[in-house]
Amino acid sequence: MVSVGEAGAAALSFAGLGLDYAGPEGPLPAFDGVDAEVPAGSIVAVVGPSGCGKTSLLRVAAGLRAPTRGAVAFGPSDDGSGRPPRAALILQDYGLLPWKTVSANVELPLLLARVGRRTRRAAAAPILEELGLGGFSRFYPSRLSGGMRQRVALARALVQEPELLLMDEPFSSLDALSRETMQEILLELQARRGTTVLLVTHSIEEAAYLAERVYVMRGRNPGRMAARVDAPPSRSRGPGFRSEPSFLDYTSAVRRALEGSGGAGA
Amino acid sequence: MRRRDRAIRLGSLAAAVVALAAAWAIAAALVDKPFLPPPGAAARRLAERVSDGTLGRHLGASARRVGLALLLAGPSAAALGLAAGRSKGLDAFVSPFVYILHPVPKIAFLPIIMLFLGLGDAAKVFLIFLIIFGQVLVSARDAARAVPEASIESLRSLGARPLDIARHVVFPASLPALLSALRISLGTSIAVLFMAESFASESGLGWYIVDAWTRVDYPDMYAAIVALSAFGLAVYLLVDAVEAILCRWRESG
Repeated sequence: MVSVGEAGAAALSFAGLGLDYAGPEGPLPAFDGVDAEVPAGSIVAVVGPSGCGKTSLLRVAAGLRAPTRGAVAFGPSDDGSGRPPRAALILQDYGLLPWKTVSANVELPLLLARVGRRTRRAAAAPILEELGLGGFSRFYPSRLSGGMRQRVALARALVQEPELLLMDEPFSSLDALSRETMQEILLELQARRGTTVLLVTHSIEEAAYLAERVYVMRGRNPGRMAARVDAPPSRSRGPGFRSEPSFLDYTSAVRRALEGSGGAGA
Repeated sequence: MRRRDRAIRLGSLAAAVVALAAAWAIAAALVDKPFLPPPGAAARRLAERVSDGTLGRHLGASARRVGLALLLAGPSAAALGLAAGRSKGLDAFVSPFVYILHPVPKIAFLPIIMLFLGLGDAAKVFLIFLIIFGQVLVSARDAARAVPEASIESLRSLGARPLDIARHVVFPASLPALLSALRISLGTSIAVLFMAESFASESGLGWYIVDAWTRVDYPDMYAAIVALSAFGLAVYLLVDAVEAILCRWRESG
């Protein structure tokens, strides 16, 4: 483990992590023996086929479930409670409350933290503007497109000023164009704020495009960490990266690891 | 858009009133018997009984009984039902009672209730209380069970405590079902109230209808029936209005 404050210190690390669900015939392991490190200020992706336990892994990281085996450490700001300090989770279906307006959804984390109304407004307004939601603050989520709901979910996460952003298949239900727009928005926000991001996806391209490190999970019940693939050092950030040869190398390495012929850089 | 919906609803309501009055007028002309007076005669009597305050007094008595029962049963049944829907332990305790008692028509308990609570208002209010309580309890429990787990988990990840989840997720998600339960049980209540008021009462629309019948004053009887129908309609419109205000998020889909 790297010491506090050092460049590249882990904001989140898993050591021998395993989770069992209660099954009809005894415990059913979701994943096991997972070791991984998410360096502070980086974007790390976990890819794997459905059923490999990647979403369960994210739930443990978010403190929604206690691990059956192993430990999660949250780096410098760990308070030993097993709950991540200043982490925000974005679920696959965005987790917006349909009976709350856009602004009420975004302000919800602050409301739950017993922050007063005026402070909530003041904190949410610039984030809504930043994500292009300023004109929609009084809309209900059912009137928004998928891409806009995703932006509301992102705004709700950002209003908590998280150090760690956990995302489950964040863009999987968006059309190709909105997905690329959201990916750019995420990269931009992350670069501006230096937030650490752990995202789970089944898309190799998305993982390679966004993340500087990709963990590959394989198998099921339990799923295991099969490989770690690091981005090529020459990698650029932004839309140009997709057409660079190194992007192709990166995605090929992840694909090979997924298919089981060994990973690169593990 | 919403204003147009409301205009359409009011229009269809008015059309239904006209159609019913027309059918009534035709039937009255065909039957030509004192026990089916034409709607005009009933309407004139209705106006008289409204202006001399008779119907107001009896309607007030009926409305007070329903209102009191609603106040006592609604919040408590909703709270217990929602809690049972989210807690397996509480549900295991509550559900057997529900399954045994809910299918019995509550009017069957009227004699027992009157033996215990006497012939006064308490018995009538308690009977309506049972109807509203049972219906709201069952609906609340089922609605709370059906709350999407994702909404709850999403709120938990934001640091919500159990009471926050009840307030921000379980209650608003169940509210449409709770209002439906109110609509159903208030309709049943008015029907049952007629029975309860026709025993040993001297007030209430139910009593007034039976009293007019024994006085062989048929226009009076029909005037009171129309008043009872208007009361039921007002209750439905009130629940609809509450729903339109509190569940605005459902219309915008």
